[in-house]
Amino acid sequence: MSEQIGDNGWYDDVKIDRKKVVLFFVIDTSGSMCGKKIETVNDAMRGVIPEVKRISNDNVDAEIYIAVMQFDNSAVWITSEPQKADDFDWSDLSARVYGGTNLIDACYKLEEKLSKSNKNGFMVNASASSTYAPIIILMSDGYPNGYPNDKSYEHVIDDLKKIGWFKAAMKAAIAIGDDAQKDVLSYFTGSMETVLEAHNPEALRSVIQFVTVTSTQIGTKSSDVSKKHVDEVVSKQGELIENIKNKYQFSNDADSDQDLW
Amino acid sequence: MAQLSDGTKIRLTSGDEVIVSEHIGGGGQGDVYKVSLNGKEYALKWYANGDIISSIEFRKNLKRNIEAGSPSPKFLWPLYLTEEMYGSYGYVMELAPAGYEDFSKFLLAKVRFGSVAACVESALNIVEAFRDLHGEGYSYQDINNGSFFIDATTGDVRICDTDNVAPNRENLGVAGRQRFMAPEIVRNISRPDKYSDYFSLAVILFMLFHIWHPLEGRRFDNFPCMTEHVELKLYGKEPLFIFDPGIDLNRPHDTSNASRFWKRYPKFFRDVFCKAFSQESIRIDSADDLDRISRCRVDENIWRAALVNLRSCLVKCPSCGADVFLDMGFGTTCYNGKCGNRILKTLTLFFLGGKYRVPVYPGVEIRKCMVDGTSTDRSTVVGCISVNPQKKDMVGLKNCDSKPWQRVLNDGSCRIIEPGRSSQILPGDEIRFDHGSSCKVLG
Ligand SMILES: Nc1ncnc2c1ncn2[C@@H]1O[C@H](COP(=O)(O)OP(=O)(O)OP(=O)(O)O)[C@@H](O)[C@H]1O
Ligand SMILES: [Zn+2]
Repeated sequence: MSEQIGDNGWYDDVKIDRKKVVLFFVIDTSGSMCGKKIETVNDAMRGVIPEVKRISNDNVDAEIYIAVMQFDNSAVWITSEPQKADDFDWSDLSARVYGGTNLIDACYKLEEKLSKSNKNGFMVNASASSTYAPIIILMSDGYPNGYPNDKSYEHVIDDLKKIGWFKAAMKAAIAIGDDAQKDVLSYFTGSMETVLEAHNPEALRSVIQFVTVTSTQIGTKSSDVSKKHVDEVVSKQGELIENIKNKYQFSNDADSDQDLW
Repeated sequence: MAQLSDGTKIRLTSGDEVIVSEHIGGGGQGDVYKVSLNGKEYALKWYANGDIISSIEFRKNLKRNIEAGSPSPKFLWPLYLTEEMYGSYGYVMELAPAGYEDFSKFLLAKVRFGSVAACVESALNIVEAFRDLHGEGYSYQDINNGSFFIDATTGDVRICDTDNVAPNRENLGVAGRQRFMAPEIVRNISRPDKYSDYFSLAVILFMLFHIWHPLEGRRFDNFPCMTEHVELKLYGKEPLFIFDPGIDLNRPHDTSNASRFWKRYPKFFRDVFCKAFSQESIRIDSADDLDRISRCRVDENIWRAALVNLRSCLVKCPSCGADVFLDMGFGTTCYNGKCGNRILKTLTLFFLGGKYRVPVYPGVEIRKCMVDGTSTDRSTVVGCISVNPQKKDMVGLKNCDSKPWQRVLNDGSCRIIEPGRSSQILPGDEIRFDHGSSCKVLG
């Protein structure tokens, strides 16, 4: 028998079993987003998706899936189900002229897909073997319909917060322009620190890129070990906040007063 | 912290200057660049993490490691420290040689070993490098899948990220990721040391041989989602080896890589993993247990002997040519589903009281360290299992050494095996070498 070179099939059929991380983008396409704002969002998303693909491809622990929702008078899923980052290409969103900001419907639809009991949900069959907590990035430039008198959005968000997947998710929001209501966005993310402001196209591009890359990097790896107390966990949300603070320690006060759209 | 742009000049404390030529990649602590120094290319690690940059201790430790020099040529050890510039600093090390691939790529099946022998060789190289490191009184502290570059053809390795290496039990603030750290570190009951390195080393070895994590089995299905708290539970508070012989609550699924590979390795080798991940060596509830786990962990010497023995068991299936590990002391079935050939149990040579074991199977080689208890030379071939050219079914032992060996038979009579000659061997025989070292032939 001739000398055989190679692994002789030893590694045939090796399976790459990575955990799944769903990266949600929930994007405001109300009337005020028309023009430069939505263009910048589209442009930034096109720029950052290849980076997400690279993070997903090089990652031993997890693979990224992307889900996109837009909301104006009502909310719609752009992706009928989460798509592998590798197969995902950004399709430009357009804002609806005179469209409202139906954050409530966005929360309903998110809740529907995150709910474990929903057969058509995004998270059915998920387990710790197969899934890391999702990442949810909300972008808005305004306030929900009826704000500030009508606070019913708070009740809807309260309901959302009862869903395990939402609780476990890493959450961040981007407040676009001067009219964005940071208190609404922080009600959604759970803290003011995870609401990033962008007052001009350049800042918006950079914030979208930073938040997306940082949260996917943190969200797709095994979490850090605590250095403080016994059996303390280093929360990924906390790590995200740490990173945001590091990056924006000298806040962008230079442009925070002027809305340059 | 902005990235360094190509062409940036960075001063070293030695007075020399490196020029940045390319950004290689970035991690949690900083970025790595290709740089040139006096016409030769090196790698520069440049810190971005504020805690490190401001830590006088960290910089001092780096300096001390540079002065002490690398414990083994397998480490991409810090060679030069830079001056503090642009609000940060870094160190210069050798570049990973061309063709050496990040271990992560093996885990993603983007790269595979050229042969099973290369996989075993890489494990030996990793184990020996850590033995040398620990021998100098250091601990590595943050072993993870990004720490290794491996030549897929030869199994040679280079180990990077050596900037957290510190004298055993001194810690510079690294804590690592739960998935790779020992349970006592995950729970923050103690700080990284040699013993937690032993745990992480066993994880890496398991992953090298199985492309799977040793603690990740069915139990993970019971939790709806992997969160920081679930990680703490499964890697810290209640770690359970997927193949724990006594507790079968965490077996991997049959189709997993773990199940596929596990049964291809000889029992003695699987047993080392069972010991390394036994509840005794991984279960920790308080600082009182630290003493127990330090006694129960599998150290590099045990791994090294087990890997040398594993290498001795690697043969080609006589029927289909596939790589097969002989299950010493048992019969072996070829793993190739289309073949399934059964190789009968062979005699076994027990060297040095059983530290090294070799199946009596044609072609298997005897190495220097087996016949000389004072040697660690696992490469030099001093003998082999040979076939009698006149009687094909008679296997024997060939002396390829420079000194005669003595074969003592069951009845006490002696035969000399001169260099270059072979002798038949029978159960109960003893072979005596120099320095009082010997080997027993067992059935
Ligand atoms: N000496 C080297 N030669 C060539 N490439 C290197 C060398 N050292 C590191 N790298 C590569 O540079 C990249 C960044 O390395 P670095 O160690 O900063 O990242 P990491 O391992 O992801 O991070 P961390 O420090 O958080 O573990 C990695 O892709 C690594 O493989
Ligand atoms: Zn076969």
